[in-house]
Amino acid sequence: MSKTALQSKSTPLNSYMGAGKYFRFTLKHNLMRYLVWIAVLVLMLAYVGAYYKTLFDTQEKLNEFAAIGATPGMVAMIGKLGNLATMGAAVWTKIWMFNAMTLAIGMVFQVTKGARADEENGRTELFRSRPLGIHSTLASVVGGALLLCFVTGLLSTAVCIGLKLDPAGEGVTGSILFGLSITAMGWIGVGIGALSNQFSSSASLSNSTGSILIMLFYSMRLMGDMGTNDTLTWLSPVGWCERMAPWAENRGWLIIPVIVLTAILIIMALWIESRRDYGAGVLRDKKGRSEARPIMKSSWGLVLHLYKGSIIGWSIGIMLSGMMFGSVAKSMIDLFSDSGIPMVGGSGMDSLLSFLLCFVGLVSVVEPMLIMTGLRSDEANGLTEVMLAKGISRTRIIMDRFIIGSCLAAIMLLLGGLSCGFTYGAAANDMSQTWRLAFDALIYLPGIMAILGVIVLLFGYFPRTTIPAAWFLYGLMYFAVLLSDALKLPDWVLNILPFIGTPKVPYESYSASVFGYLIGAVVFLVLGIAGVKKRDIPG
Amino acid sequence: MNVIEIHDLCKNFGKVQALKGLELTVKQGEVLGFLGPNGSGKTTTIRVLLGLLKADKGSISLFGGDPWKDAVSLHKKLVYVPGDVSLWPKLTGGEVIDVVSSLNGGLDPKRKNRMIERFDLDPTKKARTYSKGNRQKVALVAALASRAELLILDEPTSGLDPLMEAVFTECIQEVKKEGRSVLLSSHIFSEVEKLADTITIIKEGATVESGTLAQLRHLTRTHVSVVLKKEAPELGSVKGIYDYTVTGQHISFSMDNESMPVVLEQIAKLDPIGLTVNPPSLEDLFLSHYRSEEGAVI
Repeated sequence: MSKTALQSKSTPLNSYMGAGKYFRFTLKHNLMRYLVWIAVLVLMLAYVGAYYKTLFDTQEKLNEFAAIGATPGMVAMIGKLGNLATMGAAVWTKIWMFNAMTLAIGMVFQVTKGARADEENGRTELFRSRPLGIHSTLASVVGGALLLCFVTGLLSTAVCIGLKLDPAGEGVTGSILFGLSITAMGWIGVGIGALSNQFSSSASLSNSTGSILIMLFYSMRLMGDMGTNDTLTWLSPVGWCERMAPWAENRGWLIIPVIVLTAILIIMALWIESRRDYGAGVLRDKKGRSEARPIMKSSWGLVLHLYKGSIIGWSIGIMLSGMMFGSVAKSMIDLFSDSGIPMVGGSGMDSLLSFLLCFVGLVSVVEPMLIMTGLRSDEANGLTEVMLAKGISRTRIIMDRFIIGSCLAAIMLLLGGLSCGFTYGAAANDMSQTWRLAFDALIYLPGIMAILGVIVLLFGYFPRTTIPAAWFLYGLMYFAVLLSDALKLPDWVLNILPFIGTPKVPYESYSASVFGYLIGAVVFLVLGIAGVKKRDIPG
Repeated sequence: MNVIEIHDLCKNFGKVQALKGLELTVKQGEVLGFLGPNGSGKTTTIRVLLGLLKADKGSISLFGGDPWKDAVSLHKKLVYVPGDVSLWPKLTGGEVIDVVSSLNGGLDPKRKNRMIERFDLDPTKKARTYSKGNRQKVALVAALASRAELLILDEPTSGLDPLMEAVFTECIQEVKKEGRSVLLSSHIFSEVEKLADTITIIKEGATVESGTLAQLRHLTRTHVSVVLKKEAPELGSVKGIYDYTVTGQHISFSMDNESMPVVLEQIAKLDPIGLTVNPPSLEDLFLSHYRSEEGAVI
C-alpha cells in the first residue's frame, strides 16, 4: 500500500487520509459539548412547547397571542409566518428564531474551536506531521458540526410531534419542517464558519467574521420582513430558513438552496485550505510597532489596548442595535395609529421601550464581561504571572478591569439608549426621547457592576469556574428576559438577576432597589479581591 | 540514497524572505545536525519539509517524493517533534501519545512503555498540568517509540534536564544503529557534536556550511599554545599564523590547517617544552560564521 501510495500522484482522497480516525477523535473529544448544545436547544423547545400547551387552552387565547406575533416589532425580531393562530405557530413565534440563531452562531464557534483554534495554538501540527490529510481536520470538525445540527433538528421534530403541535388531520409536516429549518440554520452556520476560518490566522477573528456575517443575514431578513417588498428576506439564507414556515406556508423545498449554499461554502473553504500555508490565513498578519506606546505601559492602558478592537466593535454593535430597536418602535406606532388600537404613546409604548432598553443592557454587558473574565484566561495562559512579576499588585490587576468594565458599561448603555431614542424620537417627532432613553438606559449600570463583582468573586474562590459560570449567568438572564412568561423560575431568583430585578424604566418608575446591586457589587468586589490575595496563582 | 534533499529552497512570508536558497541533504542512516540561530529559518525549513508550508521556489525531495503533494503517504515513514509542543489540555499524556500514533498504525505497547519508563514520564497526568519539559517528553516518547524511518526533531531537548538529555542521546544512538535517519535541529553544540554525522549551518535562510565535523574543522583554524624554555621572541610575520600573543614563556596563536607543516617547523626552532593543540569546537565554527560580519574572527 505504502509503495503505491508513494509513487502515485497526490489523489484527492489522500487529502482526507486519516479523516475517519480524526472524526472519531473529534466526536469523542467534543461529546460533552455536543450533548450540552443539543440538550439546551431541545429542552428549551420542549419546555416552551409544554408550557404553551397549558397556557393557550382555547383558540381565543391563541388568536390574542397571534395578534402580538403579527406586530411589526415581533416580526422584526422573530420573522414572518403566514398563519399565526395555531399552537405550533405560537411555539415558533417564541422560540424558533432564538434557537436557530443560537445554533448558527454556535456552529461558527464550534468549527473555529476544532479547526482554526487548534491550528493557531499548534495542536494540529503534531497531527499533521503524521499521515493525516490536509483537509482531515476541517472535514472532521465540519462533519461533526453538521451531524450535531442534524440531531438537534431531528430531536426538535420529535419534540414537536410528541407535544402534538400539528393541527389534527395535517400529519406531521409542520413538525418535520420545524426541525428541518433548525438544522438548516445550523448548517449555514457551519458553512460560514468553515469559510471564515480560512481568512485570518486568528481564531477570535474567525469567530467574529462568521458571527458578523450571520448577523448581517439576520438584519437583511429583518429589513425585508419590515418592508412591503421582501426581496431582502429572500436574498438572505436566514430568510430561507425562516420562510420554511412550519404550520403555515410549509415551504420544505427551501432546504435545497440551504444545502447548495452550505456545500458551496464548505467547498470554497477546502479549496482555500488546499492552497494556503499551515497556520496562515488568506489575509496576512500586519507588522506592528517596534515600541509600545506610553499608554500601554500602564496596566489599565494595556487592558484598553488589548481590548481596543472588541470595544470598538461592540460600541458600533450597540449603536446599530439601538437604532434598529428604535426604528422598530416607530413601526409599531404606525401600526397602532393605523389600526386605531388605543395604546399609542401611553403605557403600551413605554412598555415596549423599556423592553428594548433591557436588550440594550444585555448587549452592553458583553464587552465588560469579556474584560472581566479575561482575568481568568490571562491567569490560565500565564499572563497574570508576567504582570505580577512586573510588580503590579493583584488588587490593581482586578480594580483596573473592574473600573474599565464599569465605565465601558456606562458608555455603552448611554450609546445604546441614545441611538435607540434618536431613531424613535425622529419617528415620533419628539427629539426629547433621545436624552430620556439615554439616561433611562443607565438604570442597568448598578446591575451590570454587580455582575462584574460576581465574576471577581468567582475568580477569587473558584477560579476555574469563572468563565463558564459567568456566561451561564448571562445565558440565564438572557433566557429570563426573552422567555419571561415561559420560564417559570421562582420570583426571588428572578428578582436577584440584574436584568429582571432592575425596574423596567420608563414603563416602571425608578426605585432605590438598584442601589442594592451597587452595594452587592462593592461587597463581591471586596470579598473577591480578598480571595485572590489569599490563593495561589497557578503557573 | 538520500532521505531528504533540498536545493535552492525559497520561502517568503509577504515581503519577508524567510528562506533564500537553502541547501540541505540527509543521507539514509545518518544524523544531520541542523544549526542556526533563532529566526534563521530552521523551523520554516522543517515545516516546508512536513508539507505544512508551500515552498515558493526550489526542489525538495523527501523519500523521493514531494512533501506538499504527497504529505500523507510520506508521513507514514516519519515522526516529528515540534520545538514548542502544544497538547490538548484535557487529555492525559498517555492518551495524546496513543491518539497521535494511531495515525501511523499505533505503537508497539512494550516499546512505548519502555520509552515512557526511560523518560520517567507520568502518562496519567492531564496535559494541562505538564511543564514544558514534560510536554516535550510526551512528543519525544511518541516519536522515539515508533519505528519510523526518519525522525524530524526541532530543538527536542530545549526543555529537558541533563539526565533526560542523556537518555535522549542514548535513544538517538540506538536509532542510528538501526540505520534510521534523523534531522536534528538544535542549539546544543555538545549534543550535535556527540550525535551528528554531518552538520548544516544556516544563516538568514541560506546554508553557509555543510559537511562532517572533520570537514568543517578543516576549514577553520586550529588553536595552539606553546610553553618555551626561555623568553619567547616576537615571531615576525609567518604565513598562516594569526593572533600571535606572547606572555613571558608562553605563546599562543591560531593557524591555518594547510600551513601546519611550516608553522610547526618554526615552532620547533624555538625549543618548546610544552605544546597544546585544540581543534576548533563546533561552537567556534558556529560563532565564526555569525561573528565574521562584526570583524571578530577567531
